[in-house]
Amino acid sequence: MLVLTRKVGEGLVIGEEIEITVIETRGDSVRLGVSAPRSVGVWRRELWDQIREENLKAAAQSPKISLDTLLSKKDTEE
Amino acid sequence: MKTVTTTRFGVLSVNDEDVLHFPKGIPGFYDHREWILAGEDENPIKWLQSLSDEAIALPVMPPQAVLPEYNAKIVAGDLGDLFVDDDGDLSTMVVVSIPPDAPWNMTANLRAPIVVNVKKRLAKQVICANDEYSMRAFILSDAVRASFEAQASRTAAEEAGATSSETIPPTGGAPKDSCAAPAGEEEA
Repeated sequence: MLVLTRKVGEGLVIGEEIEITVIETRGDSVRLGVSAPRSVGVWRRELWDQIREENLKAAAQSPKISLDTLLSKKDTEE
Repeated sequence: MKTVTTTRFGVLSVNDEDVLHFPKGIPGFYDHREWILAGEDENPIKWLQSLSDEAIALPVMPPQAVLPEYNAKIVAGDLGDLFVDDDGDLSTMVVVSIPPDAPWNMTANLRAPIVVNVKKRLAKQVICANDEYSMRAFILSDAVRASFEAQASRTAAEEAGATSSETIPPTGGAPKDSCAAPAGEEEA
């Protein structure tokens, strides 16, 4: 991993279209500004971690009740 | 045509054109590049079965079955990875999480749909730009979940009653064993 030291107001350019600027630091928090084309997704890291967790959980289970019972109940209610 | 052995579905025969290719895997299963969709026609929940590990299958369903007006905003870069040139080639599904002890509380991950280019059989799990979509949206309504919850606690209470009656003679009344069908309860 490339490690760089930046001051408030300084930034980084990644490729030709992505720019990250350090806006503010407060305690152990850093505010960053990201400018990127709309075609690029910019997400908090935790979001991907949560998706990974949800997938692992989803793959691990084998419910005792059959899904048919659960879903037919939904149908009869509507 | 080849056959694959799966833990959940036994031996399946798979045509090459049935295989869904995830060039970057799926979060949690990054090395699993090939999956197939298995399940019964009449059940909206299908299973995405990994061809890399017979034990790995993810329950999935169409997001519209959870939220009829579902409309994920997907960034162009993700669509580019799937080589989409016609939106009509796109199909979307969401991963379902089913808690084993309370399956009626199953949830769908609406924030991270699996997007498929049906024509090219290419797929990817993405994050959509709709931050109003939950990663754990309940699939069943509050009323239905409450009714299953009540049913489960009644069953648990009856089981507890049955164990204590081994030491104390029954005081009359047939044992209730009519807990198989949760439909038609007073809550409905």
